[in-house]
Amino acid sequence: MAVKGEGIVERSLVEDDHILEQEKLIIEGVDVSGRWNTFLAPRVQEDYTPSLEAEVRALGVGENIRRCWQCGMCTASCTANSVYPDFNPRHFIYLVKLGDVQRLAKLADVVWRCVGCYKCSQRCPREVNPAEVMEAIGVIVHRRWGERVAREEQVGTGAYKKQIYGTGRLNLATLMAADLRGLGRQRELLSAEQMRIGMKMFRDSRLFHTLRLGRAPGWSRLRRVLEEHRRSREEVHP
Amino acid sequence: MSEAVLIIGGGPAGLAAAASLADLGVEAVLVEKEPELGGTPKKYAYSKLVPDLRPAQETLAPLVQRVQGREGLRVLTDARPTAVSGKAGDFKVRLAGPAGEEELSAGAIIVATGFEHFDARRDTKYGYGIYPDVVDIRDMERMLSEPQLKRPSDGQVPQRVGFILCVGSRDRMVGNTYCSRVCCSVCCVQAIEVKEKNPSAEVYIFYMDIRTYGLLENLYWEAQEEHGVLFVKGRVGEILPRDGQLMVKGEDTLLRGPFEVPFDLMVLASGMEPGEGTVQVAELLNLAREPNGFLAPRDSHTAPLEAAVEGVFLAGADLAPKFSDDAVAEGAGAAVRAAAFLRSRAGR
Ligand SMILES: Cc1cc2nc3c(=O)[nH]c(=O)nc-3n(C[C@H](O)[C@H](O)[C@H](O)COP(=O)(O)OP(=O)(O)OC[C@H]3O[C@@H](n4cnc5c(N)ncnc54)[C@H](O)[C@@H]3O)c2cc1C
Ligand code: SF4
Repeated sequence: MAVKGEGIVERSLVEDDHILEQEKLIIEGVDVSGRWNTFLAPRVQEDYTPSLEAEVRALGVGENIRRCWQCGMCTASCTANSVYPDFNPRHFIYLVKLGDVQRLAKLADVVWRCVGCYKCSQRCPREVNPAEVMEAIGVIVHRRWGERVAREEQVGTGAYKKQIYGTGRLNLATLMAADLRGLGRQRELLSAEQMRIGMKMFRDSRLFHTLRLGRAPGWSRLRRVLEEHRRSREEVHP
Repeated sequence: MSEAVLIIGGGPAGLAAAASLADLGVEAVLVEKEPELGGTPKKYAYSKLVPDLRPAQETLAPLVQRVQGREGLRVLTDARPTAVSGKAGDFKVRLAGPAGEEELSAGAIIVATGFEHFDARRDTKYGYGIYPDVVDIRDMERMLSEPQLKRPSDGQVPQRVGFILCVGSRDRMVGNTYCSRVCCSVCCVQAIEVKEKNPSAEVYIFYMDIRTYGLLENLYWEAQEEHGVLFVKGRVGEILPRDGQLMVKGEDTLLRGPFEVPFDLMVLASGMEPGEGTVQVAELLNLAREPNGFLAPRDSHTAPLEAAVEGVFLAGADLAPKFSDDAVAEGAGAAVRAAAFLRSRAGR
């Protein structure tokens, strides 16, 4: 068999994992290998996890998910959607409310791609705060299907972790530099615009303070909390 | 002790109250703050009316005629109350009108101060007040009263027309969480009118739910079946000008995914709010208001047309969004309640 399901006319409408095919198939003594051995799994949904909504609500920022009435204002306002067509906050909220883990699992690697522009939260007529509900859904997806989430998401987490665990705060300037280096775009740091801003900040001494934020206040206590957190996370994601 | 009833507001509800009191032989004074009687439909020149698509001129005229030249009924336009003292049976009301101030006595008061349209500039994402071809249903009523529908920017006949339902209603962000009740049916009628004037126009209605409640459902069916109006379930997130058209960005929730399509004219179904006149009278008479600002009856089951303040009766769209047939029925009902109230006091 060359291509999976190649005998199906409207192939694009059928998802890969619904197509059942065998190299060789014999039914009641008749060899039906070839075109006749393509079967489709039933599309009737039988399995729901109603507790999914409660899991999202328990995360605080997901609290208002119950309010959603599926109007589509969030998706209509979405920035990420034009880059990732499957990123549809309204649809994700629906899947969570229904407890449709099958469909959500398939989209695990899309759910976290919100860019945080907050236009949805500004416009949602029910004040669901979809931007932050998406954050909560992202956490749930990580917990359940962390292995399905693409590695790009890890870009920059090294620098994040180093700063948080090392100083208790994020230094956005050095973080951006680290990210650009990670992406092989360090030249952009030396653009005319960056140099102009850099010189200005050097003259009024902001540059020094920006690059050396130092440790967060109450560091000795904070450090213990962070260490504890790191251990608990490593238990979940070794 | 006064035997007269003061009616505040000369819209459908107030006109019906005044005519009913005249029919009952009860003395009454009708005050209207605008120069003309007829209420909001008159003030903004509504076109064809729900439920039977008759021109507003035609249906308002008999309501106005019934209060003209009636014995025992005084009609004052360009006038409004400025102060009220006393109590049921003997209210003292100060009126400011074109002839200056005057004071009159009233045994009972009917409040029929109606509604105002939601100001769509408050919902900034649609650019109402910035882009001339983004209009609201109030503007559209006036535009449809003309023989030809033209778009404001350049006077061209719009070929692609879209309606957005629930603007200023059912939306926490603008502060109105109630349904304005009339807009779904009004948009169906306006869409039909667009098609009647220009059968080749493409007309879309973007909706979350269609609330053509009760017998009004036939308008929804008619728009769809006879005029080919298209209903798209979803929400529009923003409107931006592009190449002389409006680029409309939204999500079609049935297809699951966003769209960006050009339109020539976008109509916002801006809802109903208690107007400034209602707020003013509520303060003068110390009337209770429900959380959205509409007037609250004493008991919505047993006394839906009575205020908690004795001797004050309520009718029309100042109680809640509604169509004018309901407003007219309530005006007549409030007139009966007020007349019965005065009679019971006189008998005492
Ligand atoms: C876009 C739109 C389209 C509509 N189309 C239809 C339709 O097709 N068919 C239909 O049946 N209904 C329609 N309606 C509903 C209809 O307009 C209302 O039901 C009706 O106007 C309510 O009548 P009313 O007398 O209660 O209030 P109003 O018509 O608002 O009249 C109130 C009057 O009181 C006056 N007033 C207010 N305060 C004071 C004051 N302090 N002193 C003195 N006077 C005061 C106002 O100037 C006004 O004239 C529509 C509504 C909207 C928003
Ligand atoms: S805008 Fe709000 S209510 Fe509408 S679908 Fe999105 S989250 Fe739900």
